[in-house]
Amino acid sequence: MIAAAAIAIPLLCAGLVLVRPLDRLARLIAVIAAVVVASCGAAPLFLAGPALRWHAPWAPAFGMGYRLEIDVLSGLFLIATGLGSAVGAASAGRVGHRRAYFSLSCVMLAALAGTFAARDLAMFIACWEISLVPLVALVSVWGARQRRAVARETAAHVLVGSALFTVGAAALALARGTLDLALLGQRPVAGAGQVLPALLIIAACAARLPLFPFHGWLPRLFTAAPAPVAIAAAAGMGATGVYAVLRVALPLMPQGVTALAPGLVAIAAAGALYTALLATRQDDLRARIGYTAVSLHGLCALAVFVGTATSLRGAVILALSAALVVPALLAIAAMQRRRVGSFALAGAGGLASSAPELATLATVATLGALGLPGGGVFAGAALVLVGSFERSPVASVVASLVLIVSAFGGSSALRRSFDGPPLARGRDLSWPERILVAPLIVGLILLGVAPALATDRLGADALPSIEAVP
Amino acid sequence: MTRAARAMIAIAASALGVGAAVRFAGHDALGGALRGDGLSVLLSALTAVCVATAILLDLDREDGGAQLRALLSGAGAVLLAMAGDLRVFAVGLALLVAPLQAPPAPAGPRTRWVRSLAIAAVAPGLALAGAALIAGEGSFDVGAIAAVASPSGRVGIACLLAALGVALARPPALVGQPGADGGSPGRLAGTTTLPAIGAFGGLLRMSAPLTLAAPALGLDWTACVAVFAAILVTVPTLAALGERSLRRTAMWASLSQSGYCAMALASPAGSTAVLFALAAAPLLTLGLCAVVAALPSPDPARSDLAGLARRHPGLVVALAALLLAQAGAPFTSGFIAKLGVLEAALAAQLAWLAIAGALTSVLWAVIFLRIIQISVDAGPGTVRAARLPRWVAAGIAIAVLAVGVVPGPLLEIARQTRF
Repeated sequence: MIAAAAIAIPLLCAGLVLVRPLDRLARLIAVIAAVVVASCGAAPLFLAGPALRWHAPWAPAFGMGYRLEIDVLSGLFLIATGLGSAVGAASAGRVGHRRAYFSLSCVMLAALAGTFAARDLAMFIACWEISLVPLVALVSVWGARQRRAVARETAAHVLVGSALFTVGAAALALARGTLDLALLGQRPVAGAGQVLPALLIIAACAARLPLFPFHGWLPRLFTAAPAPVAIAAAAGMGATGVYAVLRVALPLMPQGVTALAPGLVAIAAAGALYTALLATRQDDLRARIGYTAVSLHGLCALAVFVGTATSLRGAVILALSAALVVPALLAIAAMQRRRVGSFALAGAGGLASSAPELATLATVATLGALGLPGGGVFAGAALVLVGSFERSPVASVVASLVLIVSAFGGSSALRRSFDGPPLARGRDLSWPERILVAPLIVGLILLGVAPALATDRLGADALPSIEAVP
Repeated sequence: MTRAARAMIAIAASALGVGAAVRFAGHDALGGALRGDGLSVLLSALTAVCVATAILLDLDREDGGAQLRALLSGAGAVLLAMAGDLRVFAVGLALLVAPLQAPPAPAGPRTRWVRSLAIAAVAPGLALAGAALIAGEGSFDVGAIAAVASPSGRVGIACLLAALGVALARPPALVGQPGADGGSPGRLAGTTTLPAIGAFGGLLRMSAPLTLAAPALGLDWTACVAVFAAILVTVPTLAALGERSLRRTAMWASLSQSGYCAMALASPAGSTAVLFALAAAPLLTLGLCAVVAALPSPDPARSDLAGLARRHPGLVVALAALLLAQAGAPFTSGFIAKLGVLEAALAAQLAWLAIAGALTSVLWAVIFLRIIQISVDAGPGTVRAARLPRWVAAGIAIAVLAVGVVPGPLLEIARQTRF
């Protein structure tokens, strides 16, 4: 029931915000929906058993069913998504057509929750795809310049991946007569037959993460989308790509992934470095954050494709950290924009003199994103690099350069925004702004100082290492 | 007699036809010339829904012949679905295409009208020729196709398949000719749905004997259907990319949907998928036709949708649901149909076809996204949509979503349908 509630309650809230006079409380309702999702994600840390599952028939003739379950792995991602979505909803100030806006936000949250909770491959794909619809609508209607083109580009990228994912799922349904992930895992397809489905599913994940060379849509989405929408998308979208590999590709097609691993590892490592370099060249803060996010997800992809036990744990920590720190950076960028008037670094400078708390917050978040010890990114990246070195030392060395490049880029952005003569002046943080980002920063630090809180709860079979593959 | 009364009589007549099909299910008639099995019942019901919708969409028009044309074409589609005899097949094909293709009255030069009639006679003529050539081997029974061995018999089979192909593709092509039907939305609905139902009904009747006859004819039936499906899926999609007219977009979409149905036909084990897709596809096309009918212009362009959301947000939501379902979005009937079709194609070792079909659905999603974006654009907001078509579109959108969330009943019907 808790698994169903994680989807049903956001959907209910999506309907509630359309009803007058509840629409006046639309923002609060959306925040509550996100908090509920995060709470459902925390449930497996305290509960076990049937309360965390829900099943119903869907289309048995095609092997499809409504199957939901929240375990520790999906729960962690739900917590991160819920927190990020809550921050996104809370940061939405005055919006036109607020009923439609918050309704679509709740639908997107429900779809992302469904992606993490789904235990049927058809339902996974359905939630995976349907989460794109409200995102595209939000960007198309409420976005900034070039919003329509960016929305179509995002849709095209992600849908191509989804289409291939669907073909892969159809192949599995044909081979096994079911799309139940548990049953598929018990009877995996024979070795050579895993390669094509693995390739199709990883292609879908590559578009979603996104992975080089399919990465361009995410930074452009961040620049075109309203900041609250970008925050919510950053919390959930990239994480679903990592989650899909951990939940679907690796458990069901370990030999297929192993066969494809050398090429994928190389692409992931090179892509992470390339996008980190691109981030340093961006003048728009949102684009810079977007490329940083792509770079972090590239490291996650490296970890999952290497597939050792250590690297997989690192991937989980890093993906969760990215789901917390990227929304935090976007929220801080929005605060900066309110004071400076634009997201461009060219017009910023010296903000620290008038907004020292904002400067401090931005510094903490930026250093957290760059992998400073004490943050979740450091803990995750360390595990990723150590775990990857066992199997792919070259890729690991290339990936380690990402942290160095990112440090240059991040410190440069901080210096241009806050140091030097004051080109812009703005008031310091207000109490709502302080509270807004706090949960994300606290979560990031918690993952950094006590990552075992997350990884120790994962069972031995929660992360299917390919070290066990013969 | 008022227009409403005529429409009600026509709708009642089509409902009566379905009732008769259900009543006599399991019993063949005319010595097996008319099959009374599950396929007949299913396609009769589907035809009745299409005919009723076409009649409703034309309710506001002064066209007394609209109901008659819809009923005749519907009868033709049902006859094709029930055909156990090649003569019935030919008559059904004639009834199906003639009312849709032949212009309602001699408008313009007489020679053009005669030429239109001649073109309308192509499909029935091919069917008659094919029936005669196959019958020369012994029997008019559809099952006689399995025993065809002579060159004339092969030509006969080719004529039958060509007749079905022309019936499927030609009437929708008329949609592209401005003024061919005076902008009748009912005729648009009939033209884009009934030929597909009738053609696939006929093809399903012939599929079993064709599969048996294929080795003797030196024909790879699966490959032929696969190539046909690939063309039917991709060509309309590419044509729709630059299309401005909503009517022609609906036409291309209906042809592409037929291609998806054909994908499932390539697999011997794809009957459930074919029937489900065949049941789902016309509904989507009807919904789109209802939206077109709601707009004031007889041949609306995509730009005519600008500002529609301001005045008719519900219609835009319905339009979005229908378009997303056409692209196979989750929790719509299109998603269930898409997955079933892909499974069927993969079962026939046609991975290339499955991938092509999946990728064309992405193109459709991008096309439809553009249309939806136009409809929520900040346009003048002066578009007044007609009430009845709005309700029809909303009803179909709800049905499409309901089938997507709870597809069990329709899937069970498709699974248990025998032919």
